[in-house]
Order: sequence, then C-alpha cells, then structure tokens
Amino acid sequence: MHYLSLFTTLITFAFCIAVMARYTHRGGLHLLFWGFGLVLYGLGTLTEVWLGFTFNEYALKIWYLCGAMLTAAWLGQGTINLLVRKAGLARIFNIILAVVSAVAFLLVFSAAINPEAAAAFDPSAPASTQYKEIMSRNGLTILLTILLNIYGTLTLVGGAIYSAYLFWRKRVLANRLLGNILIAAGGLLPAMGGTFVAAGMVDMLYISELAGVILMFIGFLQATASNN
Amino acid sequence: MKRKTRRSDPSLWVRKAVPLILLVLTLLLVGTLALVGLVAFGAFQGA
Repeated sequence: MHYLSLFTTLITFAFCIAVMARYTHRGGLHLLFWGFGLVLYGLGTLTEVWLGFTFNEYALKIWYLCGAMLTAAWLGQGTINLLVRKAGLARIFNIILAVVSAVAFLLVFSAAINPEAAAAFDPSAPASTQYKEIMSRNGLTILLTILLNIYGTLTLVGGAIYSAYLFWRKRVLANRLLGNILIAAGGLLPAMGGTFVAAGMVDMLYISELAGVILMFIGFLQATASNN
Repeated sequence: MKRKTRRSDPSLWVRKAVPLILLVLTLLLVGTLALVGLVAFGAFQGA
C-alpha cells in the first residue's frame, strides 16, 4: 500500500502544478488556496509513504497535521474564496483559518511522543491505526481536527454541489457542471477515509485518497478546459 | 418527429440525470459529515 500512497502523492503534486500554473496565468485567491491545500494533501500522503518504511516523529506529526487536520479546510477555503462574493467576508474566514492552522501547527509539534509506543511502531501497518498510542492529543487538538474536517468537507463538497446546481439550473457551461460533480465526488472520498479506518477497512483509506485526487484532478481539468 | 428527436438527444438524458446525481452527492455529504462527527466524537471520548 506504500506504492498506492506514492502514486497518490505524484498525482497530487501534478494536480498542484496545474492549479498553480493557472494561478500564475489568471490569478485568483481561490487557486492559491487550492494549491496550498494540495501541497498539504501531497505532504500527508508523502509522509504516509515514509511511515510505511520507518518511524519518524516529524513524519508522523506532518502526516497528522496535513492529512488529518488541514487539507480539507484549505481546499474548502479555496471554494469559499471562489463562491463568496463579499471579499471582506472571505478575508475574515481566511484570517480565521490561518490563525487556527498556526494553532494546530503548535499543538501538533508540541505534542508528546510515547517512546515505548514509538519503538513498537509497525511500518507494515497503517499509521492511522497506530498514531493514537504514539502521539498524545489534547482536547483542543481533537476538537480542531473535528471542526476543520467538517468545515473543509462542507465547503469543498457542498460548494461543488452548489456550483453544479447553478450551472444545471442556468443550462450553461456543461463542462463546469461535470467538473464540479467530479470535484464533489472526489472530495467526498478522502472525507470518508476516517470512517473506513474506524470500520476496519484500512486499505480503503489509501484507495479513497487516490481515487479522490484523481476525480478532483479530472474535474478541475474538465471545469477549466474551455477557458485556457 | 420532434418527439423522436428529443428522445434520442443524449443531452436530455444527462440533464434529467443531473438532479438525481446532485441529490445522491448531497445525501452522501450529509451522511459523511454525520459519520465524521460520530467517529470524531468517539475519538474525543477515547482521548
């Protein structure tokens, strides 16, 4: 499964390059947020690959911070910047997310590591089934993880569904309609990852990460196809 | 003749399918958020 995560990482960074290329060509804060969200997505899956070979405290913390806490929220924030017409309102949400992300960074990197559990780390088993025994998380860390994931999933997937609905109702831009449907479906898959792990379907986490980024990448290419 | 043309128009089928697809995606979103909340609540209690 390390190779699945490696493949996911490569596709994610290719997607990130495509988004940032569009940002340098056309501008738009939403593209910058999506680009940063994809860097976080890629760092999450890259450290997943790393932890598949050996344990490293910083790899685990980057994996948790990027993969479990921040990715969905930063991707969703891109959608907020695209859909919210009041620039002042979007800016307030941007500042709140930046502050919350800084707090999350401090919480994760100051978290204590249990040396016995770290020594017993099994690289052949997913980090998602072992991190709780290794890295101590206080109530605020867990609360932020919950809120960031709900916020990110709601804004990314909900925003894509809403955009698709608008294009369908107005009977315009069929490519963007299809693109947003794919982005919504792709955004849902990694969001279900935690549920798959909790249900004991650990391998599904890796598959959902890969399928999710592929669908979102195709959706992005589809939605932007006629505007290049 | 006009009706036959409409029936064979693939874009009409796509347009009819879109609301259903969006409804399914919305239900999946609501379900996922509920599950994320439940799993996270369990993690919160187990911390």
